[in-house]
Amino acid sequence: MNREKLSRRDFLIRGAGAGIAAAGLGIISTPKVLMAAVGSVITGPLYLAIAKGGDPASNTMRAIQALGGIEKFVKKGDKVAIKPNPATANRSEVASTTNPDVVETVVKMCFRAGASDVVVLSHDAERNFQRDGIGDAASRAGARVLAAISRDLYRPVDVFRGRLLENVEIIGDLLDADVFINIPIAKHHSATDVTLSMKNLMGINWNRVYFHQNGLHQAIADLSTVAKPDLIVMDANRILLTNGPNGPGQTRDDKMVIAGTDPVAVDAYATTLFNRAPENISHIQYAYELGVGEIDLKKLNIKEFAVG
Amino acid sequence: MVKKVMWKPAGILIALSLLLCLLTVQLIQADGTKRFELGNELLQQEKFDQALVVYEAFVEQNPNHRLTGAVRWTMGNIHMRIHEDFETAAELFQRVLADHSETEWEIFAYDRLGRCYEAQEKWAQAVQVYRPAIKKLSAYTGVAVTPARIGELKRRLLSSYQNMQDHQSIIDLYQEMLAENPATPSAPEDQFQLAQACFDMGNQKAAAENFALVVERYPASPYALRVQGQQADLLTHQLEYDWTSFDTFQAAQGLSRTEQYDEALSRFDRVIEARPDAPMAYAAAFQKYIVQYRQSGDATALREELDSSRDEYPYGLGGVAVGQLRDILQGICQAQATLAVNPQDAGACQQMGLGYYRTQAYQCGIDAYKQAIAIVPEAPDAYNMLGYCCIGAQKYEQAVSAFQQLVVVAPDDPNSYDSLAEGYYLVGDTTAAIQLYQKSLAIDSTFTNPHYMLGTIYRELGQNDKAVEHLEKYLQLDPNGYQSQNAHDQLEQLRSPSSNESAP
Repeated sequence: MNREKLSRRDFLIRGAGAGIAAAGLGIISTPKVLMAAVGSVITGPLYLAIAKGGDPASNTMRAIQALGGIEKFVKKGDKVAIKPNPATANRSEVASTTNPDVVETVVKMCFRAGASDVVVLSHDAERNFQRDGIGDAASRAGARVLAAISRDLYRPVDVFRGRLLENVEIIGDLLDADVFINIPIAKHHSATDVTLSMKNLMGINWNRVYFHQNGLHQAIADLSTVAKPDLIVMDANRILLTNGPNGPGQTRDDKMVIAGTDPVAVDAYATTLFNRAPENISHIQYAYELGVGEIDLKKLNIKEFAVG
Repeated sequence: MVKKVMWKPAGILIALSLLLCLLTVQLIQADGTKRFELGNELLQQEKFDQALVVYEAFVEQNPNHRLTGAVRWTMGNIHMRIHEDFETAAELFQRVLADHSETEWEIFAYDRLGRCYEAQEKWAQAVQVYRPAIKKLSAYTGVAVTPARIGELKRRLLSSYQNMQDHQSIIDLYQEMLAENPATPSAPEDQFQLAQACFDMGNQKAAAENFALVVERYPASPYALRVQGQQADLLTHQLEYDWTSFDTFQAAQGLSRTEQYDEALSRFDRVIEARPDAPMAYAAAFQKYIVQYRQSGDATALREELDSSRDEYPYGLGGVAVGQLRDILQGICQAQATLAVNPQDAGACQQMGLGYYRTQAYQCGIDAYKQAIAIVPEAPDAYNMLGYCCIGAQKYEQAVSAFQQLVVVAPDDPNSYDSLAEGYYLVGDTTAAIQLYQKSLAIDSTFTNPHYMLGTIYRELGQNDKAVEHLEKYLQLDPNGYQSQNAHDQLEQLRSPSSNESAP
């Protein structure tokens, strides 16, 4: 099957799904971050923890620890739903999918905190989970893996705060969970310029075609008003800079994990890894306008932790 | 001296007052944000009335807060969808519209407001909303407006006119839009719909004239082909329309996709020479640049042509989606710039190949993907797209060869067998195609395309039960898939009584 078929059909018929290069090429510098002492915990209303320099597992643990530890989010007996990005059937070296070590680490931490059930889920085929290693990593750590490719696994949810969407169908296991952890990878995307945490939510929803046809950026922002994760652990250990979302393309080893609770803030920070301004990535700007979170990097309490 | 003594405490008092004001403002702000969050929480718990109370308090206390528009919007949605209080909802959406003109809010507020009027059967008011909205949105260049959004508003406007039984307004609307700017991305569709409206009203002469304009002005659009397919008799009967130029135009386009560049150029020249001042001549002139681009792969030159002489084309580019074309060309240029620095960047080769594929510059796509494979010999996507570029160039045997290599590098991927099956199907080996589609499904029974293709093939073979089974499965797995309409159509035909009679 030609995965470009949709584009081929649309091309010369209508202008949907374009915008590869038009959005946000303004170059801005990475915001100043404060180097925090090892072992310290960040406090304050809007904060991001950035752990860098170590291997993916160590970076993950340090970033979550800096937010107060996984126990702050997962209580004994909780059901946890984890959404990685397994959206391409590529090996993790290509950096088009979440690093399996990051997923495995978070699953283990959840169980250590007393989670009764952890499910790693996404609207992607089982072969994606297999090929990118996320499925094995999650299973090793004791999680269930749910390749949610059947519509009966989804339940309708009303969207009252969205501008475009009025309802969506979301994976039932996620709706039933006590805790939702989003584990995206930071990467380039031909349609949205970047794929970060909010774009990763596309994979908890059933009808992606509607998103593409009716306004991808707005639909992503709208979805963020009803699917707010309790914790976001963004994998930026190796980021895909070009030819996303599938790759292969140019990659860079940033050896970094960004953790936070505000999706707009996490994504706003992550845009700087791609030399973009968050305001120029439409879905981040739209989510800010809808009150999903904070886009102004100057208002964020960002702390960086050296690992290793 | 006295003054100084008096001034000091006064100054302190003023400073303290200012500080107090600042603190109060901050407190209100914090209180406001908290209210907003509380309202959202109540909303999530489906406590709609309580949420409304909290949101109302927020709006009252924070009329200038940046989230006030978002709150009014949410309140409007609750009134509209939960309480079916369309009047209150309309007031709120009107307020959003008034306070947030020239922003994304405006785009969506038109839609909601119009629907509130429709729900109250206030068709004339709905029309008053939709008409300016369509105009405004058609000129919008941001990512929030897609052709699907504009199409939806147009459908609503037309439906309102139909409820008013005002057929003439439908025609007037399209005429007005086309007179104002016949070069918008939606112009080919508008021209087609105008003709259709005339046809529906029984005005065959006007219908024929307008259908002819679709062909003349927008020969590169799919609507032109639709006119030829559906209304050729009408045009012949009413206008004695001569299809020669259009046929030549279509043939030239086909030739340019299959590397017969000189012949393609010569045919476009014939279109221009036959009627140099006709709209189709402009479209043919631009197509010549596309031929040159497909021949040379020079995306920069075509992009420059797009940017420099766009205004010279009175009807857009004859039906070519300009914005999307520009984006794709820019992507190719970026990839070429990357390769100039690092010729070993396989990702850039693939990006370039994809751009060429999307612009039907298939031979350039083949070269780009071969380059990618030379750098990274085990890249499944490159083999897959190489095969599809070959299909585009009608080099089916080469496509099969590329897909065979794909199976070698990605033997566990059901898509490999699906692609190879398509290659065999195109060279006419239906048996091999069926076996490979089945192999693809053996790996992943939920993979959708093999079901669609098996349905299609079995239908062609007259094995209707199997065809129905696979098409139904396809629709069950992917009800909104890109072939869903075709699958529905095929099923309808299979289920019609005449279908069983014709089965062997």
